[in-house]
Amino acid sequence: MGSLEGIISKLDDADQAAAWQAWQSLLRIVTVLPGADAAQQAQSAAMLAAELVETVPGGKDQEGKEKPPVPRYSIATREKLLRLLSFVCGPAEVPAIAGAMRDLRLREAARCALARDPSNEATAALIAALATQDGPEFRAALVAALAGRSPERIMPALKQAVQDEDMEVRLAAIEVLGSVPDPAADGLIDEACRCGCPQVRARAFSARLRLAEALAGAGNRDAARAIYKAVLAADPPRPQKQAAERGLKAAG
Amino acid sequence: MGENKRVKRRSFLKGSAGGLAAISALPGVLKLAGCSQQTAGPQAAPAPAAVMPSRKITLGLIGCGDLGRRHHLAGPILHNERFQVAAVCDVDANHRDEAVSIVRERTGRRPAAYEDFRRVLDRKDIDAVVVVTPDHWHALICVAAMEAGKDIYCEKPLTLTIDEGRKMVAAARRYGTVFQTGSMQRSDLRFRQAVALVRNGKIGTLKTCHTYIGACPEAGWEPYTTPPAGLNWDFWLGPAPYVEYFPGRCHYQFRWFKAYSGGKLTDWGAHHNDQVQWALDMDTSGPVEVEGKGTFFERGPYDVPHRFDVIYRYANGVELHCHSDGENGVRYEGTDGWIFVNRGRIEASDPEILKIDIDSLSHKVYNTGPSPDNWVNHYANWIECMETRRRCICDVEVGHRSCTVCHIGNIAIELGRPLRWDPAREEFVDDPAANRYLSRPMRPPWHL
Repeated sequence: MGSLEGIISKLDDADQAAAWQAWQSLLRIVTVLPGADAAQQAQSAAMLAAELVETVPGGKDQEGKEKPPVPRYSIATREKLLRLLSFVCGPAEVPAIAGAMRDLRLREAARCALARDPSNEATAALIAALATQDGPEFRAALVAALAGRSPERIMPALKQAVQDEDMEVRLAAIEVLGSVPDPAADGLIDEACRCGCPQVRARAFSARLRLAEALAGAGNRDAARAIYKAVLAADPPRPQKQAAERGLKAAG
Repeated sequence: MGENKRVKRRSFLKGSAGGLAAISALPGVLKLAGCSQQTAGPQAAPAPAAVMPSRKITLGLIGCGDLGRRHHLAGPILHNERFQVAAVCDVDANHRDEAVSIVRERTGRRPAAYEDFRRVLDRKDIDAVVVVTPDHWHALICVAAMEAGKDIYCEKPLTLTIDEGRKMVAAARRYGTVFQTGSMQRSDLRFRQAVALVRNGKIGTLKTCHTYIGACPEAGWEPYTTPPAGLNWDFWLGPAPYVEYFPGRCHYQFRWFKAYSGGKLTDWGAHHNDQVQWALDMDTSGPVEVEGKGTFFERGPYDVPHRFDVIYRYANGVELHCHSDGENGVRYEGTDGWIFVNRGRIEASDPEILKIDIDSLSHKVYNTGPSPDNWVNHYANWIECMETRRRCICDVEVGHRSCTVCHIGNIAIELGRPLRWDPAREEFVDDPAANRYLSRPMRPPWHL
C-alpha cells in the first residue's frame, strides 16, 4: 500500500483495475482499520475531508498574475472521496462536504454523504442547500434526506417545502411528513393538497396513512384515529380507503 | 397426510390435466393442510380485492430478463390457467419484446408492453404483479405496487438494504397485500422434510447449521461503451449511482456489484439461509451476533465478497455457518445426528428418520402442496392466498428477515469485525458506524 496521496491520485486512473484497487485500499483504510473505535473513525473522516478540499496553486494568468488555487484532485476523485466520506463523516466534515455541493458535478455525492450522516450539522446543511440549489429533482432529494431526523429541526423546512413552487419538492415534503410523529404534520400535508394537483393528492393519502401509523406507534391513538377518519371522509382511492379502515380498526 | 394419500394425490394430478394446469384448477387440493398457525402468521385482513376462485387473475410481469421470461413467464405463469398476462414491462426493449412474443405465441393474445413500471401499476384491471427486476429495484416497485392495491410475487433476494425491507413489510401490512417472496425452496418437498424433522427433534437438539452457497465468479474489466439499442441504461440504474455502461455490469451479472445486489451471500443465501431461519422458527426475528471473513477480487470489477465464511449466533445458542465453498446445500447438526439437503437429495446420519411421515409429527410446518416441482407449489400457494387473504409461505417479512441475515453477513465482512444485531429493533447494537449500512441514499428522482 503506497502513500495516502498516491492511493487517492489513482482513484481516477485510466486503468480501471488500478482505480478499483485504489478504491478498495481506501475503503479498507476508512471502514475496516478504524474498527469500532469512534476516535479512529473520526480520524479517518478528517483525513478524507482534508484531501477533499486540498488545493494546489492555480498557476499564473497571461498577465503573470497568480490565479486562485485549484482543487488538487479531479472531479472523479473527489466524487469518490465523498462516497467514502458517507461511511464515516460527522459534524466536523460537514463544512467540507457542503462546500462540495456548490459544484454541480459533485453535489449528488455530497448530498449522499450528508444523507448518511445523522448529525444536526448535516441536517442544517441539507436545509441550507434547499435555499441555494436549483433543479426540482435534486431539491426533492435534499428534502427526502431529511426523513428520520429530529422533528423540531426539520419541521420549519418542511413547512416551506410543502408550498414550494416545484411539485417534486412538495411531493418529497409530503413523504417526509408521513414519518414525523407530530399531529401538526397532517395539517401541512393537507396544505400541500390545496394546490389541486392529482399527483399530490394521491401521494398525500399514502403519507397520511404512514403518519397515522407513526402517531399510533408513538402512543397518540387519538390523533391517528382522527387522520384515518379524515382520509376516509376525503374519498380516497380504494387501496388507501381499505388501509384507512384497517388502521382505524387497529387504532381502536 | 399419509404417504398413500400423497401418492394418490400425485397420481391424480398426473393423471388429470397434469402439472400446473391441474393444480390451478383444484385450489381445494392445495389448502394449507397441517399449516402451523405460528408459522403461517395471522390471517391478513380481508379485502374486497380478494381474487375469487372462479375468476382469472390478471397479471403484470415487471422485469423480463432471462429469469422473468424463462423461469416465470414461460413456466408457472403461462402454464397456469388461472393467470392471464395483461402487461409486460422492462427497461430493455429487447427483453420486453421477447416477453410479448412468448405470451402471444402461447395464448394468441398480445399483452401491453411498457418501459415504465408505473404504467403497469396505473392499470386498474391488473390484480397482481410479478417482480423479477434486479434487486436494487425491488423495494421501489413493490411499495408502489402495494399502494396501487396489487398483490405481489417478488423474486429473491427481496431487498438491497435492511431499511428497504422494513418499509416493504410496513406497506404490506398497511395495504393488506398478499406477498410471496420467490424463495421457492420453502415449497420444495425435500427442504420441507428436513425442516420438519429438525423442528420435531429428530436429530436431537439443533446445535449448528451449515449453508454452502457458492463463490462469486470471476470476470475481467470491459471498456465502457454505449448501451445497446433498446436498453434504457439510466432507467436500469434507477436509484443506484450513475456509472458508465459496460455489458458485464447489467442483466445477470448485476449480482456481483454492491450497487445492485449482495453477491452470492444474498443470491443463494436468500435460499439456504432462509431454510435455516425456517428451521429455527425465526421468521420474524434473526441472529444476535455475526462475524464474517471474506476475500475480494484483487482487480475487480466485481466488488462483492468472492469467497467467505460467516458465522451467525442466535439467541438460543444455535450457530449458522454460511460458506462459499463446499457442496451446495444445507446441513443441520443436532445432538443426535445430522441431515443434509439440497435440490437433488436429502441424507441423514440415521436414514430411518427419512421414512417418517412428517405430516404425522406434532410440530407442523407450512405445506404449499404436493408437487415435486417447487415452483408449482409456490405459485399455487400465492394463488390460494390471493383468494383467502392469508399470508403466503414466504410472506414479505419472511423474505425480508432472511435477506437481513444475508445483509448483516455482508456488512460484517465489509467492516471486518464482529457485530451484534438486535433483531427486534433491526439495528446493530451500539454501533453507529455499522448502522450506516442499513440504508442507502437513492439517486434522484427515486426515493422510498
